Amino acid sequence: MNVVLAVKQYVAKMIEESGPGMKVLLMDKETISFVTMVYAQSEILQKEVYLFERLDSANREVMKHLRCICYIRPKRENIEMLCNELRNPKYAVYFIYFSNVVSKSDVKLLAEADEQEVVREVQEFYGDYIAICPHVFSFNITGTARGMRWDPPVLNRVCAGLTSVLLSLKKCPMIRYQNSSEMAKRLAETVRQVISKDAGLFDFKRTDVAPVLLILDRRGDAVTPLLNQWTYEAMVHELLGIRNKRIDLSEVPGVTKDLQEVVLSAEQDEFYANNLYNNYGEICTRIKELMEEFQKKSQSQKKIESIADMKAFVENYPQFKKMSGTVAKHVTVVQELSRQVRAYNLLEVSEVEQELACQSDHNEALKRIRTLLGSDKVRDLDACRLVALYGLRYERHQNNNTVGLMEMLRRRGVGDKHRMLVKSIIQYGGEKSRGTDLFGQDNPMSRTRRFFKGLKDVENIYTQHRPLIYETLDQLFKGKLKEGAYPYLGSSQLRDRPQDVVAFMIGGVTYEECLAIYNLNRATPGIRVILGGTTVHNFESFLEEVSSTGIESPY
Amino acid sequence: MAAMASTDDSPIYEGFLCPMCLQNFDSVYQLQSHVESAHGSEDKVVFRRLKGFFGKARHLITNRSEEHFEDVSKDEAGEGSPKKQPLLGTDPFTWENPELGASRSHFESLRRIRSDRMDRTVVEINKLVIRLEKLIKHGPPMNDQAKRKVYEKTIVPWAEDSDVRFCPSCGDKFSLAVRRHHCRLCGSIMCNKCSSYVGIPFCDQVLEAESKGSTSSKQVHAESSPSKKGDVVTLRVCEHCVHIMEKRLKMVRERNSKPVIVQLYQKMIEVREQILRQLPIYEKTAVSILNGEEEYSYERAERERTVLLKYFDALDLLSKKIYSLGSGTDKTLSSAQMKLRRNIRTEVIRFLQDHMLGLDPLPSEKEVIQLRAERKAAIARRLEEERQARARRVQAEALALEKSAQQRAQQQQQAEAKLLDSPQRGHERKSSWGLLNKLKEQAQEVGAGMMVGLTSSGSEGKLSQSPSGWKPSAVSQDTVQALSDDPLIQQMNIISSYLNQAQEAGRWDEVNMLEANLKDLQLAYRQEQQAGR
Repeated sequence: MNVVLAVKQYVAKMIEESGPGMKVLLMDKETISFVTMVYAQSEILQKEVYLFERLDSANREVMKHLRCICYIRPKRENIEMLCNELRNPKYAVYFIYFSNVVSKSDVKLLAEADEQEVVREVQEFYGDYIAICPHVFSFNITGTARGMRWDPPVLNRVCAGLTSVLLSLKKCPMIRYQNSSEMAKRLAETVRQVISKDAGLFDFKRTDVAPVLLILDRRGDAVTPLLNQWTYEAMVHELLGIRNKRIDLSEVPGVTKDLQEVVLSAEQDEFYANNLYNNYGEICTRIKELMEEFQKKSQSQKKIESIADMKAFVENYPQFKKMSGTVAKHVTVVQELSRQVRAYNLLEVSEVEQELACQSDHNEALKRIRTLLGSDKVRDLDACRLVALYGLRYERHQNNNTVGLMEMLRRRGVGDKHRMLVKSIIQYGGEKSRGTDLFGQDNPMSRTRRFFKGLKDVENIYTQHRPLIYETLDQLFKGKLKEGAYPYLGSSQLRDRPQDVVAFMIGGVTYEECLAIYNLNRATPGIRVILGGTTVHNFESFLEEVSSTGIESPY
Repeated sequence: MAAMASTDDSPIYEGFLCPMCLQNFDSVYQLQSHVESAHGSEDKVVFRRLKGFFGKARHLITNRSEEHFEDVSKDEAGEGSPKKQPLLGTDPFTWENPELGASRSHFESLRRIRSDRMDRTVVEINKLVIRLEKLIKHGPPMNDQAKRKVYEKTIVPWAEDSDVRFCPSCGDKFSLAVRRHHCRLCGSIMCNKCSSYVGIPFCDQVLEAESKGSTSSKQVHAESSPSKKGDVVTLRVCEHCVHIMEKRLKMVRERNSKPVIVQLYQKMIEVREQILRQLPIYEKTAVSILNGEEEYSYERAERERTVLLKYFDALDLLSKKIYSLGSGTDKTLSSAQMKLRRNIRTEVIRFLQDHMLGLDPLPSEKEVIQLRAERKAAIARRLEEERQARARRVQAEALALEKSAQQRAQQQQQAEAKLLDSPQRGHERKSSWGLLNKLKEQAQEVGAGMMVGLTSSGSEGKLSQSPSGWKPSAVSQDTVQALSDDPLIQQMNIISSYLNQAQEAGRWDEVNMLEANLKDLQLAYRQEQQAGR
């Protein structure tokens, strides 16, 4: 059930099958990110793959001494380009792997193009997704919906990706979906169709308890992507943006040239792996420790007096160099984070956000939002967040004052576009389209639970919010997830407690949810949950998502 | 826990003593399994404290690397520390996939379709080649035009002039000015503009490529070959046939050419494999010498080290050569070529960093002598300690036997039952020693079982005093030891000589196996000696 490993195993297998000798890896725009997410360049060089090329790059040179591993998505244009490639082969032999199901007619086209008999292998290896960490995958698609419906090509892509996840993990699941979402239902049906059309492919060894695919819609919880984050990975994504493990630091004031783009990878970077899910306070402490350790080491490196010192230096040098890279990277990142936190008053903003999401004191909340909207330290972006959150939270409150807050936004000078987006968010995730008990008001049980939660001392006011998906999955494992709200597709139902679950969120997930699922996995014995989303959002990308649905347009 | 306290205080008890029965063991792992089997049924608290002791011991003992040590679970290390509530679920970062995900091959169907088509192309090419051969190698002399024409017509039927009124490739109407010409290879008709000539050298190359599958190094292109009739003997052919032949020639040539970079790379990979084969051998030797053992000679270690360093040098040199390949000539390398070279070099640098910089340095000869002396002293000391410990244990056992005869009988039954239940853990044993060890273990377990709650050991007692079930095992131990003493040493000598032979022959797999064997034997021998003492 490890998606990173699943893709990695596929790639390793391709390399193994292609035999010894110098190799080139030929990929398309998408597969290149599938591979780079799981393999570091240094790691892949060890396997004699020395060149990485895009299938669509023109003027690739003829290098007949290379063996070519071709890993591409089975798209029309890719097949065409590959056919042209085979007619005039640039490399000695070709090992072709498709990241998804390829049609018989496409195979025939390839066979006809292969006049020089250079093709040695054609296989389907279902790594058709971006594996972010062992329990999270995404497709990097922002903007899934047109109105309340699927954008058809996006539906096909998402369905292909989702089935490839199932195939790579060898799971043939029972499907449940969020009933309030038309899109969830549609995706569930499409996945089902693909599975039944190719039943032989999905015929895996039966486990005692069937795996479950749970399809959810972001509209069910539009609050989570609105919140500022305080755990390392989530915070970096929120404030700096992570794209395929890379973060762009070129905007950071005074950054050196080699740090303009850095890679954060839990596989390669021990510090990051250990601190991925730690909160901001802990990170700052750890960074201090790291700095001190580094200084100690660099001081001991400085005094090279005897030959023994020199030897020690040479022996430690690779680790030392690696460490100095790590230190410089994380110090820069954390410095930038804390600069932004201070400059934009994020602690205060976040406190109000959390209060909005988790408490229910309307007047107090309104008062504090007004104060913050009046502060010029607060970014416009955060002002919008607050108003959107307020709008969602107190949509039905008798003293709802969204209009007043919108007016304040206008007076702050927030542009039309952003004010429209605030409205769109409230529509996107509002009670009508939500269909979930997001704020725990629908049934008396959760209302009391919420009340008691309010009484208890919260451990950390900035991280008290827990995403809805945690609750949903927890209920699923306890067998309490309502049949009406999350029906099964088809007649068969799961009698036992589920064990392996793939939860997929249409409209994207967040790193806060990744952490929540991580914690759920750690806290619940005997279960494994994988979380997937069309993309991983921060607030800005979520705005894009919402605006691309184009709710305001008459549809 | 007085026994444990005494182990902490007294420096003599440095070996792997069971804190409950003071029995000595050769490794932590053996001790652990002994505790689990012999004291497993005892109070959980005692057991946990004992595990805490293990945790401590782990920090103390660094010289001995015992893989099985990892088995001691982490949260139980650290004596008396409050047990942290463990998380019951799993960390996704530790998840594993038992096997490769689903996959489906289309290669068979591709090959079927391809070979259907290829058969046709191959037939076409073969026909061309056969005709070409006939045209060039046989028939009337080239200068006899009339006879030649007749002969050429017998090889391939020429298309009828009346059937073709326009040139099929340019569409011009044939007339007095635009004459019809026939391709000598396929017999089709075209105009002068659209026909080309191939020279004999080119044809020879094609034929050679087809027959041998290899070509001479000089290249002649049809375009550049003389096309003036009369200069050299040529054949008039259509463009289609030229194209087919050229393509074929190019393919064969490319398949057989081996650029310099490939040759260098192959050499480089060979060197790298040599290193990877040689490295573990040297490391073992170096570690052994650093520990002051005398298994390998110092010269041998030095020799191995020099060989390795030479290989590293060669690897570095080859990769540098690849990197700078072609940069001296005037034609500039493409970016892909550069990238390839750079990446090969990067990988070699990483390899060198990982393997060469981490190479264990050898001590100087003087240091080696010192190390060996130290080790001898340490071994002597340990043997002495073991002897003392053993004496104490015998005393304690005897006391226990005297004190509780009834309890003993009960315990014996229990222990035997347990022995039947539990399969042997971990230890590797030669089958011939199996019975002996079993008996010994039984004795130990029963003895240990009786040690519970005993804190003092004073009175002298002899094992032979014990009644029934005990005596035979003790006696059999002695007798077997006496008998086997010689064969064991013999066996060890035989294996040592094999080992030397294998080392000289460079058969490292066998060396490893033999060394493992030897170690087993040494272990068994040591145990025997202890038992006999």
